[in-house]
Amino acid sequence: MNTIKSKLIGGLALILVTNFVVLAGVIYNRTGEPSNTITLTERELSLPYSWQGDSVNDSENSALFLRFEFEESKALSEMRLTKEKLTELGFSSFYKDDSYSMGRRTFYWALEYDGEEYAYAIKRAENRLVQAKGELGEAQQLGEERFINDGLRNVDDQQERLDRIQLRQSKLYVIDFDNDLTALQAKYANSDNIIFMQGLVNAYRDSYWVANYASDVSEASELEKEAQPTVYSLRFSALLVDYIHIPLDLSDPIKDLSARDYDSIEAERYSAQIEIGRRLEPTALQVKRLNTGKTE
Amino acid sequence: MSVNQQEDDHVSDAHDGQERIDRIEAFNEELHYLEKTNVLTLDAQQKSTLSDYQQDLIKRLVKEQNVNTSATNKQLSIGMKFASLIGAVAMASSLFFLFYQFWGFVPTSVQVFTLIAVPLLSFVACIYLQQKGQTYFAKITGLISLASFVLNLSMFGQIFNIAPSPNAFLIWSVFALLLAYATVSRVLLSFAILSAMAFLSMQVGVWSGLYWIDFGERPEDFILPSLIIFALPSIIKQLSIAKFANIYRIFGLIFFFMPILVLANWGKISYLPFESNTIETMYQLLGFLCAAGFIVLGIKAKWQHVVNTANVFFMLFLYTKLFDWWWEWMPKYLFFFLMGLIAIGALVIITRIRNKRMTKEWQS
Repeated sequence: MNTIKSKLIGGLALILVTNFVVLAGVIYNRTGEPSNTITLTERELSLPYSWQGDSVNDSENSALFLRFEFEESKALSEMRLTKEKLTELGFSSFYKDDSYSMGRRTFYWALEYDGEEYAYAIKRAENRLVQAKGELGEAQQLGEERFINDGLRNVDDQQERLDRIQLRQSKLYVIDFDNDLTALQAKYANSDNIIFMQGLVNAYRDSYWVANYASDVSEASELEKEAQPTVYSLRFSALLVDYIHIPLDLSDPIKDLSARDYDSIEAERYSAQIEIGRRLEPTALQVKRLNTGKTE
Repeated sequence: MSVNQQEDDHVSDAHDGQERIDRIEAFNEELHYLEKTNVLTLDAQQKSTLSDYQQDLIKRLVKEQNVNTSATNKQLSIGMKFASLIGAVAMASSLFFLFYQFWGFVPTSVQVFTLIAVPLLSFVACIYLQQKGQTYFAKITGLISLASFVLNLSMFGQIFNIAPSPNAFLIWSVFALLLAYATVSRVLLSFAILSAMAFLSMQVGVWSGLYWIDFGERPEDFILPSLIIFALPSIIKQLSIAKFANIYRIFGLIFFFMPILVLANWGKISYLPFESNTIETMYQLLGFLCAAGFIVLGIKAKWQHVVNTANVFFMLFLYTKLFDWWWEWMPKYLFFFLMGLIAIGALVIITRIRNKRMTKEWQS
C-alpha cells in the first residue's frame, strides 16, 4: 500500500516539477530585458511546405509554424580553417584526418538583417547581370547563333537571380559566430539590425572540388594544392530553434495562406514581430498581412 | 501458517506468483507419479496438510496477483497480454495524432492545461487500476500516460520555441521506470532502459565534443552506458522483480556488443587514433573475448539469458569474420558447407561440456 502511495506521489511530483521547471524557463526567457526585438517578413519566416498541404499527412498537424530562412555571409562561406583552429573552436578532435565531415557543434550566431551583406549580395548580382549583358552584346556583334543563345540564357539566369535576391531571398545573414555570447554582443553593440541566436555549425574537410571552385585555379596549381596542408570550411546549417510557433491569437492574418512555390518570385505577403528572449529563444509578438504580395 | 512460512510464500509480483503456481503443478504431477510407482507415499495427514497449504496459497495468489491456475487460462492470458500491448501502442499513437490534429484550433492556455492534465490523470488512473487488480488495463493506461508525458514535453518545446535538450530523455526514463515497477510491465521497462541508454550515450558523446543528437555517430558512446545498465540489477537488488533483471542484462549486452560488432567491421568511426584496420582487428578480438567471458559469467551466475545473448553475439562475430575471409574466393556451396560444419562442431563441443558437467553434478 505504502509502495503504491509512494509511486503515486513520486509520479505526480515528477510530472508537476518537470512542467514547473520547463514553464519557469519559458517565463525567464520572456520576461526582463529581451536580447532583441525585430520585425521580419515572409522572406525570413517562411510557411513550411507542409502547411495546408494536399496530402493527409500534411493536413494532420493543425498548428502554424514559420521557418527561419537565412543566408551565410560571403566571408563566412569562404573562410578556411586549419585543424588546430577547428579544435580551438571546440570541434571534436576525434575525427580522422581523412573524414569529410568533422562534426558539428552549437555556437552563438550574429545575424544581420537587411544590412551590408544583403546590399553586397544585390551589388554582386547586378554586376553579374551587367557582365552577362556585356557578353551577350559581344556575341551579337559576332553574330554566332550558338553564343547568342548562350548569352540570352545567361542574361535570363542572372536577371532571375537578381529578382530572387531583391524580392524573395532572406535578408537575414549570418555574419559572425562565437562560443562567448557576451563577447559577440559587445562586438556588435552599436548595430541595431543584428540579432543573436544559437545555431549549429558543421565543419567539413575542404575537398578538392571545393578548393578548386572557390579559388578558380589552373590545373597546374591544383596539383600543387594537393601538397598543401588540409583546410576546413564551415557551414551554418540550422538554428537550434528553426521553427517559430504562431499561436492561435496571432495566426488570423496568415492562416489562409499556403506555402509559396519554390520557384515563384513574388514579394512577401506578411511580416512578424519577433522577440528574442534572454535564453535566445524567439517568441512571436505580432503578425501582419502586407499588401505587396499576391493574395490567395 | 507460521511467520516463516508466510515469508517463504512471499512473492513480489505476478511473475513470481505464476512461477510458484507452475512449480506446485509440476510438484503435484511428480508426486502423483511417485505414488503410482510406489517410490514415495504420503500418509493422509501429510496429504491433507499439503493440500490445505497449496489451496490457501493458490487462493491468495489468484486474489492478489491475478495468476492463472490452468493451461487454458494461461493460453488466454497470453492472448490478453498481446491484446493489451497492441491496445496500448495503438491508444498512445492515437493520442499523439489526436493532439496534432486539433491543437492548432485552441489557445495556448488550453494547450498547456491539456498537456499537463492528460499525463497526470492517466497516471492516477493507471495506479488506481493496478491497485484494483486490473493489471492489463493498468498497463495500457500506463503506456498512455507515458506517451502523453512524452507529448507534454515535446509539445512544450514546440509551443514555446525551446531549444532541444537531452535532459528530456532522462525525465522520460525515470517516469517510464516508475510506471514499469508500478504495473510490472516489461514494455515500459524497455522504454525506460532505452531512454536511459540514449541519455547516457548522449552525455558520453557531449564529453567527447559531439553535438548531443549525433551520439549515434560514435558507437563507443554506448559501451560504458551498456555496462552500467547490465550491472544495475546486481548493484540495486530491489530492481530485480519479475525477471526485470533479465531485461536489464539483455539490453545491456545488446548495446555492449552491437557497437563492438559495428566497429569490428567499420573502424573508421572509432574514437581511437589508429588505422581503421588496426581498430577493426582490436574490436574483433575484443568481441570474441567478451562474448566468451559473458558466456562463462552467465554459466557461473546461472544467468541463462546472458549465456544465450552472448552466444548469439559470439556466433555473429564468428560468422562475420568467416564471411570476410571466405565469401569472395570460395564457391558458395563450400562456404555454406563449412558454416554448417562449424555449427555442428560447436554443437559437439557444447554437448561434451554439458555431459561432463552433468556427470560432475551427479557424482557430487
